[in-house]
Amino acid sequence: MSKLDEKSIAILIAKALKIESNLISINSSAENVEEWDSLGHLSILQALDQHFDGKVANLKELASTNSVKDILSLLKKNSLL
Amino acid sequence: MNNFNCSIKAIESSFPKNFETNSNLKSDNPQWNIEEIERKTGINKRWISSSNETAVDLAFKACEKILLKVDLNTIDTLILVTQSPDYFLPTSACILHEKLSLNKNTKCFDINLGCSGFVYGLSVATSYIQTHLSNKVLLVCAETYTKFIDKNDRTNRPIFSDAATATLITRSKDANIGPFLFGTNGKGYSNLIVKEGAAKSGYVCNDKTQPTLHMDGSDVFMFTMSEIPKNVDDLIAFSEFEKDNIDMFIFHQGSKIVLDTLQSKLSIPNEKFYSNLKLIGNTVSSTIPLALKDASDNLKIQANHIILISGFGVGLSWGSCLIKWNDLI
Repeated sequence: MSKLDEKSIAILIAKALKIESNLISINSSAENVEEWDSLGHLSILQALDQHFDGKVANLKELASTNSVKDILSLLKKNSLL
Repeated sequence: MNNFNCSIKAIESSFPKNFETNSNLKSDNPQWNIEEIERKTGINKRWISSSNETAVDLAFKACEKILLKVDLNTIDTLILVTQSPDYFLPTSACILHEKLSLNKNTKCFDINLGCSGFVYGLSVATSYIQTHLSNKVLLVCAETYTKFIDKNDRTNRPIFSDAATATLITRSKDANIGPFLFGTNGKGYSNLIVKEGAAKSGYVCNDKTQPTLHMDGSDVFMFTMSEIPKNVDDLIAFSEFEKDNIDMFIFHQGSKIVLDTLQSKLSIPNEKFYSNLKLIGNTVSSTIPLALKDASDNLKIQANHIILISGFGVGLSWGSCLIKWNDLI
């Protein structure tokens, strides 16, 4: 696991959604990114869990996040960023 | 060590006549990205019960195949795992008892569990045999979840499939089944739920014509990521085996993304991780016995292999156990 900055998280999310990294910014969410649907969200959760060596599996609130801001805030709250 | 002197002697299955492929999904919902759905679910084909075909009907057909191999008068226990009962009451196992013309001395009851149901049922069957309450148990899993699913439901329709399995469990000289390890998190009960039609809704379905399955996919996914690897590791630690001694891991065939994640988190090599959901779908409590039978028929599991099975889902409920495999009859 490497410590990620906000930009790297955006890249990780873009990779999970199989889209260009410049299509994800701090303001991206399920509302404005077509690929970020319920299946896309599972890929994001899977990618985050893989990156943080299983440490996010217990962050149950992660299931209901639907924006980059929400994800960053939760990761920070749990000292993962 | 909670190993039981029992073995799985036979597994048979039954599917509805009708099925649908992902092409059918695309026709009904042209806006769906079917390729992406299949990539994530790993499922291309699902079996769909017809409107007058119930889980008990499917169960009956699976049991008929088993009863070609064993004298029905020797069956002393029938356990039916189902969440698709014919009626609120009586118990569906009693209806199945009548259809199969089983002996009056047969103990019959239902277990209302979903994807963990086979493991729970297996633990009850083996406990009955070990305590001499039973000698031959027919453990039946049967579901028709597709009746709860709307045609436009993109979360559930690409996944769930109807089927029944019948598993014959008998006494064995060797300790072949166990130990078991279970868990429940009732806080997640609403993550996978059919809300309409029962007491909480006054036994009505509001404006809908039938009860509908609702799944919070992300919550269920987080649950599997957090609980199942720990449950599996704890079971192995509790057993006499090391992880490397286990010949095959057969998990509930929920969806590819869940299976891939569990395989990765548990560092299970491909050759020891079984998956057969592509042309079957998620048949709820039947996925594990279907995979066991399939793996046995394809010689992926053979006599004396150590198999770890794990079921998890609605409840939220989970359970795992070890099986020393015997050849099926």
